[in-house]
Amino acid sequence: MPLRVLLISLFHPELVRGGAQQVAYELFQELREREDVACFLLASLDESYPALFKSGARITGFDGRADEYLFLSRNYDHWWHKLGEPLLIESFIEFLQTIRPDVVHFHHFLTFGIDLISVVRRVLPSCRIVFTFHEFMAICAANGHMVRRTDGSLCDHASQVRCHQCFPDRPPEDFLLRKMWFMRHLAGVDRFTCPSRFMIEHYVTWGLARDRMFHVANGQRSYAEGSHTTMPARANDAAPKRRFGFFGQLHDTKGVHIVLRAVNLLRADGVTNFHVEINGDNMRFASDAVRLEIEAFLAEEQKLAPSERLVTHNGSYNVDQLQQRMGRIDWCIVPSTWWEAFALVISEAWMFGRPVICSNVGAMAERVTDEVDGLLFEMGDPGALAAVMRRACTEDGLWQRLHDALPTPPSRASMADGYLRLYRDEVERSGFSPSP
Amino acid sequence: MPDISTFLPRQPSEQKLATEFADALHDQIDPDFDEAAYLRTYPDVADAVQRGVLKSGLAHYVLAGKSERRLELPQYRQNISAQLRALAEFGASSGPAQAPAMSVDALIVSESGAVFIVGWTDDRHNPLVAMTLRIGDGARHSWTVFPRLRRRDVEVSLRFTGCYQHGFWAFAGADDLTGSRHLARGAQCALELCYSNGAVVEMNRTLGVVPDTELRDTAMRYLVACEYWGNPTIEAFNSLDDGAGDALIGFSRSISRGFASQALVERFGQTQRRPKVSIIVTLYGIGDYFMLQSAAYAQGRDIAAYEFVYVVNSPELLEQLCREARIAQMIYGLAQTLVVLPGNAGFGTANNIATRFARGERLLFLNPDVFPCDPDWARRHLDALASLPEAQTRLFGSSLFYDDGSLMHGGMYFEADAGFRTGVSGATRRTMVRVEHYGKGAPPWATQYVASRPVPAVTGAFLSIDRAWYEKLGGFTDDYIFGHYEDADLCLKSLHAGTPAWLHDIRMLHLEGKGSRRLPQHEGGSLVNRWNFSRTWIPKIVPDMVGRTPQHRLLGASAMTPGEAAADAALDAPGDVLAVAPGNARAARPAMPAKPHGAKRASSSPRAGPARSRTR
Repeated sequence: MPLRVLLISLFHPELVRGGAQQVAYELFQELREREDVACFLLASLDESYPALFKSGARITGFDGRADEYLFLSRNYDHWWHKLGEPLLIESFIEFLQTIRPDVVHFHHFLTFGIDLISVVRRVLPSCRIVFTFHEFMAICAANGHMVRRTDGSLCDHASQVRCHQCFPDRPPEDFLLRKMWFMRHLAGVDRFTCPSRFMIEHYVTWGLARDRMFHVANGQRSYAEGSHTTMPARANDAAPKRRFGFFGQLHDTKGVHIVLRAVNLLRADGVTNFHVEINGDNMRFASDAVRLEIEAFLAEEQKLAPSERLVTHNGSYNVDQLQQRMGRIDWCIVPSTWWEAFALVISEAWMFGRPVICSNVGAMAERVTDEVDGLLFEMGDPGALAAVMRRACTEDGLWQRLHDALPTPPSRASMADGYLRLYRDEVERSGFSPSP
Repeated sequence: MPDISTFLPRQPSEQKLATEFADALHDQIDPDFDEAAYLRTYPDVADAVQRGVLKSGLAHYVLAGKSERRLELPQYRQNISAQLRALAEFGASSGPAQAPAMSVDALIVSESGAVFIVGWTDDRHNPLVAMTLRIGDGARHSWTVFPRLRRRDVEVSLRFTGCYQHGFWAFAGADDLTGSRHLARGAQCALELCYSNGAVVEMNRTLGVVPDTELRDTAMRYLVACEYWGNPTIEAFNSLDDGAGDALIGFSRSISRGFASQALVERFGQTQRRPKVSIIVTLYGIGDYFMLQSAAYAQGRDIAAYEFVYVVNSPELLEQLCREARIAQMIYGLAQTLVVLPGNAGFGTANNIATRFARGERLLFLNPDVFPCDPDWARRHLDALASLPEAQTRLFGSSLFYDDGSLMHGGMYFEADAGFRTGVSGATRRTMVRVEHYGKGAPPWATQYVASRPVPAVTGAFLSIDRAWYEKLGGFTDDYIFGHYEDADLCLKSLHAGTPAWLHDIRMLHLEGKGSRRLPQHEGGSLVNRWNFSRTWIPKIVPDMVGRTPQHRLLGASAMTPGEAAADAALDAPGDVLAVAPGNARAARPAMPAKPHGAKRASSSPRAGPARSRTR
């Protein structure tokens, strides 16, 4: 009897890009290939994509694909994370009763509402519920980054007063209520997963039971396989390794501005025999200060003669272009100024044999071992990054040594195996028989 | 001559009759009527006006004097002739009497006919003695007493450096206005100010008519912004004494009752026909907590024995609440009733109207910002009802805690403040009552504050009461404007009817003041309410019921533990305005087992901070 699994995803990665939806979709694709699993995907869509909102519909199919559905979210309360539209709840209940999943696996609550967990628990009492955290949004109202708005420092625990300091317009009591509200609904979850082990500690500190927390690393298919392009080999050649790449969104927490400041420092020191390629966009989500800094830097760079330019902005990319973009660099810089939940870009760099230079916190520090398979620098410190970049450009044998020690990134299959084990253990533990 | 008290409109229903009576006579007021001469002729009427039980001589004339033909009696004719003669002589000797500098800053009339006037006059040497407002060709109101206040702007303008309250205001409720109350925007009105030297200033204005609620809000905001020479609370209380306070309360009460009569009821979900308990929550201004409470209260054993009745004082929330009630029904299976009022009827009236749609034999009044600490609270509440003596549960409250874990409420008691005011007749002393909370801010392990015991009062944030007892007490008194003091008032009514309020340690969170919107007019309402609560209850609770260890036979089990009583004596004895009789406190035996949070030892330093009796 196939296990019926419903994956609930924040957005569809082909409509709105993002790590959480990419991972959810990778899992969906992998589970679709397993014979003992019947997998369904319910991906949300918000009103930013009005063309797909069919009149009177709350849940629709997606582009003629089997078992892929869109949840047309609207009237969403971004503070309390709940829907204000009863018809959406009715449709969700009807959808659950139609699909009759044995396992509902939430990959986020955003755009659905945290209280939809309680809907599943009420409508399908025997159904097992798994929830994957992709950041800290349940803990932290500041986009789930756990970065203090007061000074940009990392936050390691939430409290009424600390959260109020980040949101002075909200009284401390609101944050107790927020936590009560989240805990009320998360109590309906059977198992939680995090892609990084350090995240588990944050959630346990916050109040979730350790014995319900599990680690399942995010997996991806190998983008190096089946690519339409070939990548020039960089290993074992004697060419200098002075080309750096940044991949990601151009906003504050991804830290591209730290790279640009490091470039300025190196240039001021007369170090100009390197090049940085910026890959990504969505600068509109950056703070005004960071956006203006990036724009000003790139404008100044454009004024220089091509031979004097140290930074190139390549714009956005999709996974099919990764091989081409990775082929143009030696090192991948991940300068995030928040914890990062997993940092998929590290896996992507490893797929293409590129050592990573990254911030020394959170998922980055957990995944990259300093001096073994990559280099760490003090988070948010352009001087520290500049020093590492200078060393990367000049130290003989460094790149090769790190390259040779690169781990194999988690595969899509291993991730699916991890989740399936979790699903089956939970079904077995509950004594519940999957739907006939 | 009949006793004038038989004509005094005290109850709203009587007021209504009086108004109808006045309406019928609106065009029959004798032009020969003169307020000053009338009061001088009939000292019983003047006394009633002075005591605030009658609004004016004109009011008495309309209600009784006309039918008694008092303007024709020789005493009145003699007085009015003498007055006219004096005016004529004054005019002959010195020309027209000179009026002092003055200005009327605002003259606002509401749709139902209530009037609010604000102005100032430099009447130090020539006092303002009467003011009459005529609207159109019929409606009329007269004042002979005016609340006074300090006006810094006037002092600057006049370059005045002494102590004098130049400002004045006057208020008359719709029922106080004689004559036709069918007021049209743009109608002409005349305001006449009379001074003691006979000078009269008449001003003609075009009437601006505002909704009743807007006038109420304006008056309340003004009241709280007033400045005085001397103790501001004493002066504010004093300004409310001579009829203005009653007029404001009567006007607000008529608004509230009007809203209550238009309640719209919507039920969501299936509930049992006779739930054991009806939870009643009043919402005002903020709807966010509705869903949060739904989620929090839906879990836990025995919650199916409860129904939820939300009474909504903010109709603008209706759309959101209806949607969320449907969602709560689907997610939590909750049965909820929404009672929607067309405006803010205040806490007391809203709760009273909600009880009509509640089906439980037990009523549990909750604030929207109260949440259970323990998911099993519903069972504990029912267990208390089943296991404790009936006298201990007829009316009871619970321990409430802040979000930071410290105690917010462990029962309430009363304190009396005294203040003084000086005038031409010398200094007078005035007592004002305030409500305090036992152990406010105490650590959660200080169990002495949450032990089961009778207390002078409990907060309406969590107030559980037997329905029959609630009805016998007449429910919440609806004289309190917007909110505050109704809970203490209800508890005192219960105590004087033979049953004290009890406190039991069910433990709830109270995010005090966060569940509703607090606006400046609510502060004005609180001021009037404190005045009203003080005048109502001081005769019955001062001095014996004042302090942490009140002396009352029904509070014999004490609101205090022995250690706290000793500390209380130290706190209360020296320096307090009112000496508190030593308590006969004996150890309270907790009827509900307290749940200490890692208690090591009890606090010996009880603390109590100023507190409002209820959150609005």
